[in-house]
Amino acid sequence: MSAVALRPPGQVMQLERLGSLHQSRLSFMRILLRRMRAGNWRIKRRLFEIDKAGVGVALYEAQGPERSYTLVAFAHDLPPEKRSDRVIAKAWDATFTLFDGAPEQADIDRLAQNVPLQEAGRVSVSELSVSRANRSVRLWEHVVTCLAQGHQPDAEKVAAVGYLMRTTAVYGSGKLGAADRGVTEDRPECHGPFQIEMLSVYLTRCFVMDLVEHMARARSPDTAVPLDPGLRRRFGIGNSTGLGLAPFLVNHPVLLNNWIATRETALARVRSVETAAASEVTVFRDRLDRAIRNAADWRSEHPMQIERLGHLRADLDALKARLEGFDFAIHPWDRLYRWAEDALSVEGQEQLVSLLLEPYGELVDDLEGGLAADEAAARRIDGAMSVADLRRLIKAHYGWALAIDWTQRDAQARAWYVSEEKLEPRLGERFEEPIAEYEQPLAPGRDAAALARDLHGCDPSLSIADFLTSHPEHRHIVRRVQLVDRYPYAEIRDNTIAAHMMPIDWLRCKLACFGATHFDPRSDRWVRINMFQNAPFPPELPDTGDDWAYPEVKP
Amino acid sequence: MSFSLIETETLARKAARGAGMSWGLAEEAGFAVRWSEARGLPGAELLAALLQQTDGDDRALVAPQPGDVWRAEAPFCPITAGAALADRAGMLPGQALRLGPVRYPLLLLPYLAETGQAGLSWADTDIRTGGGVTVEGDARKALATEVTCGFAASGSLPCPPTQWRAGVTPETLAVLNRFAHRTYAPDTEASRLAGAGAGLTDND
Repeated sequence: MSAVALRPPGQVMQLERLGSLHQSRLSFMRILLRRMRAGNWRIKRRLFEIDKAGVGVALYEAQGPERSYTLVAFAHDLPPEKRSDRVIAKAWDATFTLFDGAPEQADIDRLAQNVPLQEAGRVSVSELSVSRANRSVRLWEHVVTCLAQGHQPDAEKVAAVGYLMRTTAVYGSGKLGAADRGVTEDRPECHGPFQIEMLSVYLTRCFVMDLVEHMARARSPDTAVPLDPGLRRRFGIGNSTGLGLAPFLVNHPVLLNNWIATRETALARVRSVETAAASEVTVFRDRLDRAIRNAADWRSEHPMQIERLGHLRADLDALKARLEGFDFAIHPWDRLYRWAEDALSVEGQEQLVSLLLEPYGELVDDLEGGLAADEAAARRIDGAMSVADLRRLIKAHYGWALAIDWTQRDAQARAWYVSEEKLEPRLGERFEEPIAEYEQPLAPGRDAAALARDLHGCDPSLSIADFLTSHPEHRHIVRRVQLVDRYPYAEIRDNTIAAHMMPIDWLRCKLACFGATHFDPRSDRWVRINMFQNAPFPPELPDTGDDWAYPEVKP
Repeated sequence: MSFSLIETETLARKAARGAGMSWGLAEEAGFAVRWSEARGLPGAELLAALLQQTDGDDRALVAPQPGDVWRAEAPFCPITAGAALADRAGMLPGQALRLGPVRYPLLLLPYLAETGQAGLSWADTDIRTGGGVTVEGDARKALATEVTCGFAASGSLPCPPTQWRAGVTPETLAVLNRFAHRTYAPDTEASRLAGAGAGLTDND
């Protein structure tokens, strides 16, 4: 078998492409549901004490082969004027924590004092995540009203929003006092990235669907009906995300590398397949048809996304046409991919990459073991390296940054900073706001170029240890340059502070790795998405395959 | 109050940055505090004390001379010196290295352990790693005239974490928060809206 090489980091790690990723077999939501199905997980509603006003507490327990986890959900009666997706909000429709095991009453009492406060509360090493969600005002009232009156909600209205509640933050890994990732990372079910957070969202979806039916019954006990199971699955959990998520990709370089390298390795494996079996072609055609449906259902009001969706729909039609009479006998997937590089938009190319993995679970699913990362293990600086060698690394991995004229205002028009208020990451205009002195280290390209300038006059044989003694300001970027040499997909190879940079590209990259769909930018730095839409509910899990992430094609 | 290790590391990094360290050195401070707290050592408390004592100082390390003795007129910062030691892990002579004077020398320990060294000692204090950390003497020492780093150790001894929580006192927390606060940009109405990118309805 002749192996196809991985796509080079210089091509893959551009923001436009990272901002065009789609969910795939290797997305964390799909990994979670595959594991839960294989491990025969049982999910039980342990408690549902919610009153007629929708206020109370509920417990959802997920029992795995060795351990259990419990979503503790607090439902609130939120006045509409307090509802906001921003991190500056102080109250929500529902608040959650994922408890490690089964909570006692004392735990629930303690959590009731803290979880509804979110950032203003504290949790303990027994809790693994903290999150909150707000109702979609548009859809919630419609669904409650319809169900209370005894009929199903309008499928078109359901499709237009896609969820009844959207989370506005899901904190894990030690935030707000919760357990550090190290507490759970050796457990098989927690080892993969964000498995705890994804479990919390999956259980949140169960709770929200139960809650909406409960509210309909409370309004009209005699006439209320539950949701039709087919329609029920069309509800996901929304998420509304601003810049809080963006710095993560730069602050976790090894993790970013592993996510992208895993995807690229999977793609290379599929492109290396010599002959596609008929069954594999059938799966590919099926997922393509369903991706076409997904693109048709995907709504956005953002001009940029509307344009890209137009390209995507045309791309998928072109792809379908290309398959007419296509010869699947000789390296079919590599030929198809190379055709797409010329024929499709970046959005369409990356959709194809995800589709190519679909028939090949046996070939690529084992790669999920490489998604996790130990950032701390990669932090050491090799001080014995010479100035000459470091300069070589900069040239090899940051050539794109050396080519930018950093004296131009547009090249560094922006600065990332953290606001005093609620410690929210923000992006400002360097030359118009007093923020430069508060800048966060989120511009590796600019920093690498500055490092190259200061290395220029140095003795080539000087050690980096000695260089850093007189240049401590370069310590951060020296660490990155050495790291990127070992982890080639660790760095966004694009200007992260340019005047026209789009932060939503960062958000989409991360959220696509999670498995999110229906990216709907609200601005250049704010995006809404859907999670677990069309996913099986717990009783359906044993009989549902891993194809749920693509909608069924309408009959 | 009980804190997770990542919270403590993040706070230490911000505080060190707020006190004037470069981002790269601030990352080193975060590492040292986390490593210490994970082994029951008072890393956060000592960093808070260090930052208070040296606030406003020029932190440039006096260039270490080649050889096995590092001397400086002003006391070494244990974060700067520790990172410099770790950078030179493969370049130093194979015997014990002495340096001094050093502020809060316990904060050198994470760097020595990370590069496989067995411990350090000063005056009447001896600190060993390997299995766990054993301390004989005054781990909270504010200033040691001369510290001996255990470069004579043969091979690296594992020194795994022993706990997942950091016991940060309210006093230490207040000091670190005060330094961290310097890294936050004051809010303006414009930044509140434009900076985060919202400003349109999010109640729909």
